[in-house]
Amino acid sequence: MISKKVILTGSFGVGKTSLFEQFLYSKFSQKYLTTIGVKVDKKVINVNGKELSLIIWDIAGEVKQDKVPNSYFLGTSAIIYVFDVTRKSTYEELDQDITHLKKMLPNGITAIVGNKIDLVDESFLQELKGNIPVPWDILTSAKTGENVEELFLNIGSQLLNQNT
Amino acid sequence: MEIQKSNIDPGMDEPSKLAAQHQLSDDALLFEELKETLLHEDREALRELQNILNQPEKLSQKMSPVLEKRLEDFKEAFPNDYRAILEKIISEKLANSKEELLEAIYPIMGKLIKKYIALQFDLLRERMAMRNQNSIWYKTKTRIRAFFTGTKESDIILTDLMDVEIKNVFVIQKNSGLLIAAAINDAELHTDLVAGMMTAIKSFAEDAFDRKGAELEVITYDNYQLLLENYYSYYFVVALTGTISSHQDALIHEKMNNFAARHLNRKKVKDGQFSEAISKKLKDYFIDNPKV
Repeated sequence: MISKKVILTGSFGVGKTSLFEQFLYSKFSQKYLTTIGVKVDKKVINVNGKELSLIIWDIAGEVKQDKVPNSYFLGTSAIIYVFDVTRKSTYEELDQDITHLKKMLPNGITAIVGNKIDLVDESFLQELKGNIPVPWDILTSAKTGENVEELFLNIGSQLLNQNT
Repeated sequence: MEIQKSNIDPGMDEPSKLAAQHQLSDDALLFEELKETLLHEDREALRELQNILNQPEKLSQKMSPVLEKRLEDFKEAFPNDYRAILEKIISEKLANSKEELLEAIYPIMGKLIKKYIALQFDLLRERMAMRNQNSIWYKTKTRIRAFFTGTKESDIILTDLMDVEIKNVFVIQKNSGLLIAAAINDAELHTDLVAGMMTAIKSFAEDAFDRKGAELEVITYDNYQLLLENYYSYYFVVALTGTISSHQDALIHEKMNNFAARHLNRKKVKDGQFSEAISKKLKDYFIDNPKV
């Protein structure tokens, strides 16, 4: 079975660990526990009949991505950059963060994820679309589970395509 | 042939035809004689040439000096004419095989260094053992430990002498933390997670203290130790119980180097995909012979 390393990164409190837990164990907790260092877990997904083992690294949140230790990015196949749609400070420097991440992973997959959409309505998202420096790839809610599975399956599918 | 045809008119009577034919054969003979006279020398030369070509010995006699001369010229001209091309080929080959070379060299270098260190430790250990044999300090320390822990002195001495046992072994891709092979005693152990977390801890430690080129080599907790041996694109983790001496440490590292040199090459580890075959060998080599 093919194994791939995937990194979950972004500012603190954006819901990286909640996305991670929702995807891995289909559970959500209201408690906020800050991640110290990194947490690694694994999930085997099935994409069009092919099994893929995702080794997911949930990295402690950093306000700026250049603060994340470079060695965490080594050997990574995909980066999931998460921001909180309700907190401007988590996406106002999105362009700089994404530029840095693409420099760290020039040939890898980078997905921009807007999380916590359960807290806002459609008109808010429409307005956000016009203000955000870089367009997002997918909007999710770790709380309701909306688009969480899709996010990881989409990453998995791109990884498998890359592999063929 | 055109001339011959034109000499015989189809309208001729029989005697005339015969006369013409006679005239024709005379002409052909004359023509042949003329050719022989004119082309005699050329034909002789051609015959001689055919003769040489058909007889290998003669051909060899003629060709050998020429070939030898060419070979000598080639030898003389080779360094100048082909040096640049050869250097380019060699440097390209070396550049392309850099990782393979490093992969092959790492365990050998490691083995040499470890062997030297192990030898030095052996000598040191012998000296220490002689000094400690009747050391008051050791006896006092054992008595204090026995008093506070409520354990018999003899048990403490036995524990100190207890064999080191290898429990789990992992081969992990250095950058990604993907598991390449594992041999474990504990079936409940999540090997992929161990590999990932080990790599995260290792990366953190190496980044945090920013020691250029330094790599994490050991993690200790309780009577459990994780020994790490770093190679170019992967690293080894041996988890063991017991109090390990420097000599045993050197032996385990030597074991890792031997295994790496024998069973792990770049092709096998570059993809970072799990290998059942290497895991089986790990089990045979480390777990089935756990005593150090």
